[in-house]
Amino acid sequence: MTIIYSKSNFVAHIKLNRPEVINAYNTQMRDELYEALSAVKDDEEIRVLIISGNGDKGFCAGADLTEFGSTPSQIIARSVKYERDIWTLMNEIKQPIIAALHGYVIGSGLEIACFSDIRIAANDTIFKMPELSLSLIPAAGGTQTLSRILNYSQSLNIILSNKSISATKAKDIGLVKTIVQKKNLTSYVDKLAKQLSKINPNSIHIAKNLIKSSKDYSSHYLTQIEKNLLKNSKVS
Amino acid sequence: MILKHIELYENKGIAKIILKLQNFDYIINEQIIRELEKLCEILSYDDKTKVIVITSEEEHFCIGSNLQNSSYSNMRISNSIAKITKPVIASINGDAIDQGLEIALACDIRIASKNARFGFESLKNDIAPWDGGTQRLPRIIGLGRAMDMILTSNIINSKTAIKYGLITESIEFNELNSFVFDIANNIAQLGPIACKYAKEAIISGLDMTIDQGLKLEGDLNFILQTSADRSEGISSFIKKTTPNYYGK
Repeated sequence: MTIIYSKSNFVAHIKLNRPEVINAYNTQMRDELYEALSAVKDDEEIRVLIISGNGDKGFCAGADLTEFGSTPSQIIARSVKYERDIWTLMNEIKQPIIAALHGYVIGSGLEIACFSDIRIAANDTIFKMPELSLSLIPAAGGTQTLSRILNYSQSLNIILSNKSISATKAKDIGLVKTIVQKKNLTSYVDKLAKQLSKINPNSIHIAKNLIKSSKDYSSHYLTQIEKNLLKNSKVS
Repeated sequence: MILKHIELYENKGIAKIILKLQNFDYIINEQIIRELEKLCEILSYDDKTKVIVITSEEEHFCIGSNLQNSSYSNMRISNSIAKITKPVIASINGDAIDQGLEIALACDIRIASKNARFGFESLKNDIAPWDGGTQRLPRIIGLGRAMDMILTSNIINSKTAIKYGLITESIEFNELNSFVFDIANNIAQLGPIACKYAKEAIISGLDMTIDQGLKLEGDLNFILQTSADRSEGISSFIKKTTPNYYGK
């Protein structure tokens, strides 16, 4: 298995599990991640999702390039992608997602982290978007998610400059919420997940959904939705 | 094209535009705007140009313009800069005020010298920012900070500009040129089509919902998969050689 899935006390945990290649993302991982995320999405017992990477070297070193070029045709690749679009699915997860990051967080690794709501990084974390140097573009949502987390100039700077970003720099620009000592990463993230799991799940779903939509729709429209949702949920 | 108020240096795929504003008290005028506008168009379609740097010389970047009372709507310049499909870097050597800041805001990456200051003083003269400032500033630094800068004419220094995300780096004045050259040189080595598509996906994607943006990104990626540059990129990565990109 390329991921390890577990669930206890309202918290689900997906651990990327190809440590021998720093959890490089391949088609098998895509399929298994798709299954796991689908299960999380519909599971009322899950209130928080943690995503982390197995092994000492890092969270995820990016896409497995050895598989590139194996696509039969762009036409087929495109229909396969949109029939089971993992990034749209990840974007639709209603529970809060915490990314527990360490070591290398490169390319699609950073893009997975960007679909998470809260990013916690160990002090050894290194971020990088190297796609353009290979004449690729980030295609796991990175051109959209990064510029919604940072401003678009900072996002262009990261994607165009092809430079490594330290955990400290990532904290300064708002890419990660908190930096912790590597040995404390798991306990810190578990504690945070436990804290979030105690909040009324309906309220947290509404808050997450409305905050994420704030960049996509007009504030007039969203304040109406907010009013209606709160009325219906009786939490106001 | 004869340039009188702008110098253009082209080297290794980097086109460096230097605004010669010293004799105009760093105030931009109609002649300079016309030259800059033409240059943006030419460089946009020039295959040799991979990345564009816009800078000025000596004391300031540009502290305003004498065009606010002009009846010509084409005296705006920011859209001509923003329309360029290639990466554009503002190398901000000194103060960028009013239309000077609007020029910088239309660029993709802003790198400034430590002495540079930024702001809008136009409301003091009863004029609202009119060359894209009211739209680009809040999109870059957020609504609250943009309101403060525009409504109170609050001029900020480079330290605050870094904190706001208005600039990505602040560099000693005499090191700015070489620092920006390194960044530009790195960009010139990347796949040129990938650069254009990444820029398009990021900037167009922000005016869409995220689902539409993800689809745009995905489709641009599928088009890119048909390029020769992409095969070159992957195979040179696997062979650990330096790729040669031809924009095809």
